[in-house]
Amino acid sequence: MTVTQFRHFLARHGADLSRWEGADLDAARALIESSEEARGLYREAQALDGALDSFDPGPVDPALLERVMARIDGPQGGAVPQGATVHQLPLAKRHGFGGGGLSVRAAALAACAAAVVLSFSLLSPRHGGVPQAADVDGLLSEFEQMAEEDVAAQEIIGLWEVAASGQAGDEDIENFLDHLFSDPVGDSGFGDESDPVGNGVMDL
Amino acid sequence: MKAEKALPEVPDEDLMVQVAAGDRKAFQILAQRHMKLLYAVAYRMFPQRADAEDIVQEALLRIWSKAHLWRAGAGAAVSTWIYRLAYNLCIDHKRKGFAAVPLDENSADGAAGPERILQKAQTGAIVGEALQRLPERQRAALVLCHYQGLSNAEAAAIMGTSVKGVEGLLVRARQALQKDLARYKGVL
Repeated sequence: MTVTQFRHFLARHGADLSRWEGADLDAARALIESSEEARGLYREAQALDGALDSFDPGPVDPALLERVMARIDGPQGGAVPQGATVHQLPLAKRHGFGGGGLSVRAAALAACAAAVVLSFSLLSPRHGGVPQAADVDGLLSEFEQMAEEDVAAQEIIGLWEVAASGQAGDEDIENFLDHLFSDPVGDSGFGDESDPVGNGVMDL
Repeated sequence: MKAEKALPEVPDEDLMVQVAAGDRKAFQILAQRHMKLLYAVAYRMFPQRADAEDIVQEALLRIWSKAHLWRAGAGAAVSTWIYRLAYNLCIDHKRKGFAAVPLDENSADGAAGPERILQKAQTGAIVGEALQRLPERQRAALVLCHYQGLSNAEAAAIMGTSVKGVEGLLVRARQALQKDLARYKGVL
């Protein structure tokens, strides 16, 4: 195992070697023994893991379950609004967006448009019209407006993931979703790299 | 004659079938079994006791009302399904306008001495706030993999992404935290 490989395993799995899926642990231990650089990296990773472990949620309040049981026993029987989300879709549907040859950006735009159109037609009957795909600003504005609605937001994000999973690279999707869920002031530390236009969406 | 299992020993999968049929007792056991993990995820995503409890409560109610949507043999373990529920609720909670606020102070380890408690609480608070500065999905990946001890593949299934996607999130999360926490003396 090289120091570079060792560094990558640390970054992906942390300092607990038992979590290093697919790694040659004997080679990793040998490297720690033999390389000062590897030892330094290992110490840094151990320190980070130790710091993370200091963040303890504490015990859960047992009365919480009593409150839930009371809700269940209440007049509405704990009912919550029914609304299908993407994780309930069959796996085949989650990978069903074909159309080879589309670029990542085109796929993202098409996915957003599809999500909005679908959400308009399926979830928000009060919206009758279909937005023009060319009107990106209008589309994004509609997107943001709909994201205020819980079910619609779930569907939009879910459908985007479904659609983009066949076309976009993982990093593009993750960057897009990171921005979507990030603080709009953009303190994520890598916003400028993946969101040059600063609107929380890949530059379409 | 085959002895019937006491309810607390019944596997999650069987409990879910009973919950879907409206069995209140089965739900109570399933809830007790998973409440701690739900709270741990929720608190690390939103370190305010009230926020975390809201998410746990909502998650439990959804287990009760949507148990029929979980299908045995469809590939997802009950715990994965529950984690996914909690994950979606956390994302949903964020979209409802959650704003980061100072951490609750009552999350310290009561078994340690006063100095150690104070030090750990301070470090924990700094780490908790650093976690809040991470993008949502990076934080979720770290919570699921580091704190909950799930494999990257399990986290990927919960988050609806690929293993490589989760690994990318973990790498970026750890790099960002290392950089962020390096500002605080004695934390790293």
